[in-house]
Order: sequence, then structure tokens, then C-alpha cells
Amino acid sequence: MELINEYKNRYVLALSAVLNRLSNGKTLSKSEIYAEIQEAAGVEKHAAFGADFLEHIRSDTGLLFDFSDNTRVQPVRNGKIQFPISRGEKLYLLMILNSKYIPLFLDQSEIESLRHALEKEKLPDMSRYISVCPMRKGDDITPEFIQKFRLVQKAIRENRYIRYDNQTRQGLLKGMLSRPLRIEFSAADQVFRISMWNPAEGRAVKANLRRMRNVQAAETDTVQPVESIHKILSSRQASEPICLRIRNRRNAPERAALLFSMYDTTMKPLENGDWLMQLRYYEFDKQEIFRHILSFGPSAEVLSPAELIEEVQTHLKQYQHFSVPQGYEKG
Amino acid sequence: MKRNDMERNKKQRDFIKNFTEILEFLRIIFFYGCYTQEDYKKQGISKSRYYQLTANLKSVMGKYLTEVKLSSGQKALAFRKDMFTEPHKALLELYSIKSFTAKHLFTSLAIMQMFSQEEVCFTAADIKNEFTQDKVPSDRTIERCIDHLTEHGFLQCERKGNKKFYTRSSDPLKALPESILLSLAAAADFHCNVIPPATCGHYLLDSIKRRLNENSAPAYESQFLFKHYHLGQILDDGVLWTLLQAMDAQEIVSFLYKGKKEHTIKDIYPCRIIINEETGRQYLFGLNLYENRREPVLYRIDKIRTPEMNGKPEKPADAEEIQQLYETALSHSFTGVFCRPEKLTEVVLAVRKELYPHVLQYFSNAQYEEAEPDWMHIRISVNHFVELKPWLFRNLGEIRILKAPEDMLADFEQDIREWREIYGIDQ
Repeated sequence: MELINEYKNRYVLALSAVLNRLSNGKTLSKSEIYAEIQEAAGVEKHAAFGADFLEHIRSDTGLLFDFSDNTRVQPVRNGKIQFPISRGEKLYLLMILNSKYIPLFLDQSEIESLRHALEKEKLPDMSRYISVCPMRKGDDITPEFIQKFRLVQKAIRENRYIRYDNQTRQGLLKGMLSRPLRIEFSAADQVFRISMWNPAEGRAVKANLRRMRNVQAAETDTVQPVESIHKILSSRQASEPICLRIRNRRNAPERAALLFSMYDTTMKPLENGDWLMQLRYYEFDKQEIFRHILSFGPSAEVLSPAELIEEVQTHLKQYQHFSVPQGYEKG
Repeated sequence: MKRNDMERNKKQRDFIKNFTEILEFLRIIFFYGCYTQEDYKKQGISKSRYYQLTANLKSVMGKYLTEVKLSSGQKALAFRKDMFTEPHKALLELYSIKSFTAKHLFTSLAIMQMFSQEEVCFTAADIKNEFTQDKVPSDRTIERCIDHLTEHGFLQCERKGNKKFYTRSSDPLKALPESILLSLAAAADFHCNVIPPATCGHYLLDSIKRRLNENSAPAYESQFLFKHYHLGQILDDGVLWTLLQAMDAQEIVSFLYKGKKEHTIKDIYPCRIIINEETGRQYLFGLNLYENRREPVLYRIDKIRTPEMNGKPEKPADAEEIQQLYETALSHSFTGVFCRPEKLTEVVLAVRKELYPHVLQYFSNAQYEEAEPDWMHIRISVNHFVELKPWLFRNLGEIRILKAPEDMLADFEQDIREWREIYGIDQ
């Protein structure tokens, strides 16, 4: 079975919608049908892609449309086209139902009921063929964690503020008030973080959900409205991009292209085979990017900004040369 | 239609038919974002083909693509990437115009109209009899459409004696209340950034959104931001999908592998997909059955092209054998990407006490040796020292290497020397 499901093709979806409306008794002329399909499929952007499809509608002689009266086109069959979800989607649904994260979204009875609905199709669980190697064990999905997650979800959905205590490196911060904006998931760390707007500090903050305690919905009429998350985040974009020279050794350019692919990057080949990488980023991603850069060792050289060059120099000065304590032999 | 228009249409149809070429083109745009027309020429893409592909991609992907001006003054295509531009959508935009045979799809839609009632049941002959007009599709077309709809799981087939009876497949989303549909939409949205193939996840999310729309429920809006999601993985979804199906059918596969040289690899019994979340790389772990070998092998999925399923092997591996081989091959790899159990490397590190809990999470086989003030000594076995290097580079201030094979240690020290030289630090 092919991965690409052609019944998700935009022309097919548009045509199905028109046929279903005709079956429901809607009166449409031939030209209205064309216009609807063109509009629904966004055909005007790249007309020729759909030209073939529209040509087939025009020349349809009784497969789907009865064009004997062009002002009142009739469907050949009266029946609603209903595509159930495909086998690929069902396989994916089963993978989701077997994921360790599903209790965050559905109750056990809901999970069981969906599993039961899939049972008679005897679908294989494809997730058993996939092994994920994260960098850390990540968050434990405990009942308390689920409760916090859902409360945050609800607050985002309803644009509400929450109150919580936050265990930070500086100690326990009690009675914080923030409005959750997004739930952020790091696949590498398997950790959930909440991006929030903190009205007291007038800035966006981030907290590990695991470290948030006593999370509760707060009264909303005491705090001011929040700018959109797009606006908040765009204000936190670093003014100067990071420029790196990626040396052409040990596959480093390719590794860098892949590792930094989640960021806004451009790469440019240099004459000696090295590459120049320019990386635009949000301020709050800086430390993480820095650690990624370090992992390349001498294969990635920071060219700018100056403060990052200094950070690498400090890091390198910390290295204590190979030393053999008593009881160990070299090699 | 004018001749020029016909030619343009043909070129555009070719564009959406030849997905292999498009994916290669997109891969370069996605990862590098600086290839000019001349760079593509070196990759074997002619000037006229470059402009065709660029124009077509721009028209399909719109806002997801952007044209950047390089310092040389030349133009290059780049992907727009930020937290809110989901690249899946860009690719799904492309998939949503994938070439099709209109006649085939029209026939399929007509067939699905016959199954508007869930309980109706038809044989292939019944379906053929429904097409009574003059210009009906041929029996062969109808049969192929039925097979296709069944393969995709829209119809289900039950055999009674010599006859096959078709009904519309059940839909687990049907009759789900709005609240569960919304929760399921969030689950699909989240998981398609966590479990591959993301394309299937997005199809599911699309179906759930449509159900919500049909029920006039509020539209689902994403609540997530994703970090470390390696966007390029979606370009390999097609390959991954074939490999997963081969694993399930217990069939061997062959494929083109774009290593240093492009070559064909045959007789691989695929066992697992391994995803390294740190680097974003996906690997195929399998058994090489060529000439009756049964050795574990590892291939990068982004280098695999045109995988084909080649039937069951004479002696398939059972789940227990696969698990054992997998564990043996990778038990000493903390990133899950090296496969050299016969060449284990033993390393002893001194790590600062604060780093110690983190080390235990990283290296599951780490053995405590002894302690000195502020430092803990641990012994680790890894498949290859190279695997440790990025971690060592990141934690230079927190570690000392106490024991490692001499050549590897010399190599590491040389790296540090070079690194210091680059930043003008005295040795």
C-alpha cells in the first residue's frame, strides 16, 4: 500500500463535497460546479495542475454527473460519498493508542473503546518495529502529571490564567500567575515545557511541567489580555544570527545540516570544501544551540557573535588534560 | 487547448508524477537553502529543468518556500522554518496534488457512492452492473478500483465460497462525541511530531478535523510547539513506510543505497527502525541474508532509495531471534546507532559529582568504580569511541578520561589541540 493516499487529493475532496451537496438536493449549474471545485482546490494558483481533472468533469458522460440540463446538473447516483479513515490512518491510530503519551489525551475507557473499534480489523501494531533513542529518560506520565497537562491544555483552549508553584534552581517560587500559550515537547529530552506569558514580569517564560506544583485555574478578570504568541516570540528573536564555519571533515557539513534543520538556517559552500552556516534563532534556544555546536568539537567554528566565541573559549579552558590516577594504566 | 498550454500541462503533470526527483530537489532546498541553478547543474539538473521545478514548487508550496539572495548576487531557494511553519503541511500540499488518473478516481468515487449506506454489500459483478451508460469504465478499470479501495482499507472484502462480497469498512471516528474528537485531534497532532511516519499522522489529523467540521464543532487549533523535531525526516516517510510494511509481512527488501557510491543492496531482512532523537537520524536495523549470512546491519534511512519488498526468505527470523540480535548489537550503544558488538571499547571516566546522575541516564551500562573528592569514576563499554565524542566535547569541564584505547585517546587529544588552536588558546 502506498503511503500517499490519493483520496486526500485536494481535487477529489472538492469533487466529493460538490457531489454530496448535489445528493442533498442542492441545485448547481455546470459552471457553478467548475467554480466551486476550482475555489475549493485553490486551482487559480496553479491552474494547469487541475486542468486535467476539470477536463474530465467537462467530458463526464454519466459516470458522476448528468449534464443533460447544464443549469440544473443532477448527480447520477444519490448517495453521500463517505470515506472511512484509511488503513494507513487506522494503523497510525493504533500506534497512537499504544503510545506511552496517550493517557495525556484520552481516558482509559476511551482508549479501550477505540481499541475495540479497531480490533476486528486485526491490524498490526507498527510501533513495535520502531525504537526511539532519546537523550534522556524524560518525564514520567503519572496521574498527577496527566492532571497538570490537561489543566494546562484547558487553560490554553479557554485563554485562561493559571496559578502554580515552580521548583527552580533558585528554589521554590510560590503562587506564580501566568497564561499558558503553548505546550512544548522536546523529543530529544522527552520533556514537556510550558511557554507562558507572565504578566508580573511582562515577558514570556518557560517552565518544566514536571517541576510545576499545585497547578490551578486562576480568575481571569484581574489580569490584562495577552498579545498573540506569534508576536511575543517574534520579539524574542536574536538580532544577530550565529555564523559557523563547518569544516569538511568526518561528514560534519551533512551532520550539521541535519542537526540544525529545526532552525532557520542557510548554508553556503566555501572554496576549500568547508561550509558557512548562518543560523537565526530565538534567545531562549541559545544554550541548546551552543551545546549542539560544542558537540561538533573542532569541526564547527563559531565566527560570530563575539560573546559566543568567548563562551567556547571558556569551555575549552575548562578541560583538564588526560591524567592517570593511581591504579589506572594508560591504554 | 493551444499547443503551448498542452505542453505546459504535460510538464506540470510530469512534475507531480515524478516524486522521486521532487523529493531529491526538496531535500537540498530543505537542508542547505543555498543551491543556485549552477549548483543544481552539478547535481545533474539542467537549467530549464531547474526553472520548471522552481516555478512549480513555488506555485504549490507558496509561503513555505522563499527565495534568498546570496552574497554572490545569485538566487537560491530556501525553506521557511520557524516554530509555526509546519513543514509537514508543505509536503502535504505537494502530496495533495500528486498525479492521478482522473478516470480511475472518478470511477472510485462512483463506487464509493454505491456504498453510501454502511450496511450494503455488493459483489464485483454487482458493482460492474451499476455502470450502465455508454461510456462506462472497462471491467478491468472497475476491478482495479475495487482492489485499490480495498487495499487502502475503504472497502472490506469477505469471501463466501467462490464469491467476494464488499462492504464499506467501519470507521472508528464515526459517532465519536465532539469532546473525544477534539482530544483525539490533539493526540494526533502531538504524535505526528513524535511517531513516524508523520504523513500518516497528518492524514489522520486531517480526517478528524473534517469530522469536527461536519459536526459544526469548533475547529481544532494546535496547542503544541516542537523542539528537536527533525523536520527532514518527513522526506523519508515513503521509504520508512515500505520498510515497516516489509517488517510486518516478514519479507526481505532490496534498495539503492546512496553511500559514498550509489549501489544496490539486496537480501536485507528488515527488523527495526531506530531513531536517534539527538541527531534526527533514522536507521534501518536488519539482517543481511545475502549468501546465507545472518549478520546484523545498519543503514541510514535518508540514504535509502526505492526500497522493494522481495518476498519471504527461506528461513525467516522469529521475534525472539531479532530481539536477541538487536540487543546484542546495540546493547553497548547509548545513541543506538553503532552496530559492532565484536569490537567493544572500554572507557573509564572521572565525572564531576553533579554530572553523575545524568551520566547514569545516558549510559545504561555504566559501572561505578570509585570516588575521589568531587569526582566519580565510572567504567563504560561502548560500541565505538566515536559515539562518545560529541558527549565528551559538550562536557569538557565535567569529565576526565582515565582509560581509553591509546589510539582513540590520541585522536581525541589531537581534536582538543586543534580546537584550542582555532580559538587561539595556548596549549
